[in-house]
Amino acid sequence: MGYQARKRHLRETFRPREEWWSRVFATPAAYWILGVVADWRWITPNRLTLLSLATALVACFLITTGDERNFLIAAAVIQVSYIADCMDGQLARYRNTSSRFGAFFDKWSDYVKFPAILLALTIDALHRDPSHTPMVLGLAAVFLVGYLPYIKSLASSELGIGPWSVFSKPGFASRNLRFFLFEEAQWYLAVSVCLALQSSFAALLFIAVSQGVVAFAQTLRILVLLQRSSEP
Amino acid sequence: MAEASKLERLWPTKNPDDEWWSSFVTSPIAILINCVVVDWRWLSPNLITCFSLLTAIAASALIVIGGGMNFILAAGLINLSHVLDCMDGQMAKYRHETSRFGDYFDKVTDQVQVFLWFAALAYAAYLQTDSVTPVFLAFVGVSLYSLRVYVKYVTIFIQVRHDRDYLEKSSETALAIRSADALKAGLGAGWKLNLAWFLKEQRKFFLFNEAVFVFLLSAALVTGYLVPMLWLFASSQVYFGFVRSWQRGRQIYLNQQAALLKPMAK
Repeated sequence: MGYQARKRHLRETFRPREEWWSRVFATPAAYWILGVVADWRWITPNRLTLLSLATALVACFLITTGDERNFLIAAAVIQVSYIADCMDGQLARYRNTSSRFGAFFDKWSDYVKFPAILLALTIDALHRDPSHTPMVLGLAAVFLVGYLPYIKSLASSELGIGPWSVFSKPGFASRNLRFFLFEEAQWYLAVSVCLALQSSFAALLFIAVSQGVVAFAQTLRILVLLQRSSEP
Repeated sequence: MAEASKLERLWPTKNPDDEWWSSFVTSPIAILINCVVVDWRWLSPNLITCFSLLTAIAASALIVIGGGMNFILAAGLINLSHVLDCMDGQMAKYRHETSRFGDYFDKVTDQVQVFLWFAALAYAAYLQTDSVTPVFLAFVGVSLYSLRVYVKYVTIFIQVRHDRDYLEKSSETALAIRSADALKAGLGAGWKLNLAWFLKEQRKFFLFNEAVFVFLLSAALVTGYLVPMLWLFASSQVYFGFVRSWQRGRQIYLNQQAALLKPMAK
């Protein structure tokens, strides 16, 4: 397929993602890269998922070294990992090879990446400040990043409750307010920014606080929806 | 006579899939307490779930404060919290008041409780040993325990998207398996049958799920072996986290192949 034909097919199958940082950065990057590589046979969606997982683990290793330059590299590697994560589904749709196993592998690898990155951040933060503050933040963060996908998948698989539709209207304000849902994309951004600023502690603080607020709000939202639906 | 018949009516609300420690300790205790309180109108299943969460929070606070007496008290509260956790479902079934809200609320609070207990225990172990190892053990254990639970719901989510009847089909299969190897133990069954059931239930210990944690946590708090318990917790969850992921991934992969083969079978 020629470049123009590939671009056209890509545009038809491409599904933009709603999350703020994804829409602003990772999805356009994924689109641009796929424009070049989408027909390379040896690149498959599952290999992209694997690449995303492997790069995230490399970033974890770099963070635990505690070195200033490695922190900067880790910040970039985390974004590479996130772009690869955005590419896999798009490539599967482009080639019409979406599979249940691919969907499972993608979600599973996300769920493994989160605590791995937080573990690395906590190890480094404790190294710099061996007190109980980073410890408590790390434990809270690792619980919260596991808890949020859990309550969402529980709500959608057993109760048919979809994602939060707040800030999903078209329009400049709504699109940008979506930043404050602190979805996955934003916390990848936050981790990268904090690493660039050489502070693993700030990353932990950001994740623990933002995910704590969102987890509380999501739990309330789902419970209220269930309460309403059970009224006669 | 009224009491006896109430017990008989309550007994079937006991979950046949109860986990290890709840199966023969906390769940029967919950049935006995329910014999007294199940008709108190001001109590509701959701209120009991709230009490269970509050008791769990109190237990975690006592663990963080520390001290031998507080540890023993916390061990008691952890078990009380689990008894309350068994009571809410039994009461809801008894009164025919089961709701999606209650089911969800119960599952979410369970997840929070497990985290609170292990985080508190890890913190106490850190204060005792002055080493961060216990914290990382809890870290690993908690993440892999939640991975283990998460893969279950992701599998349901993915399968339901392809087959709307997936949930019903799988619960029918589960029911068939259960009734095939069910021992008719319980009220009215002889002691031999109940002993056989009790011995068979012991295998569930090795599933290392929430009810086993209740036992392990309280045993560790009473005996003071906090760090060995955390090692057991972390290693068992690493094992189950990856085994369950593998099993679920394989299940989805095979189902997907079966779906591909379907038109060819005609």
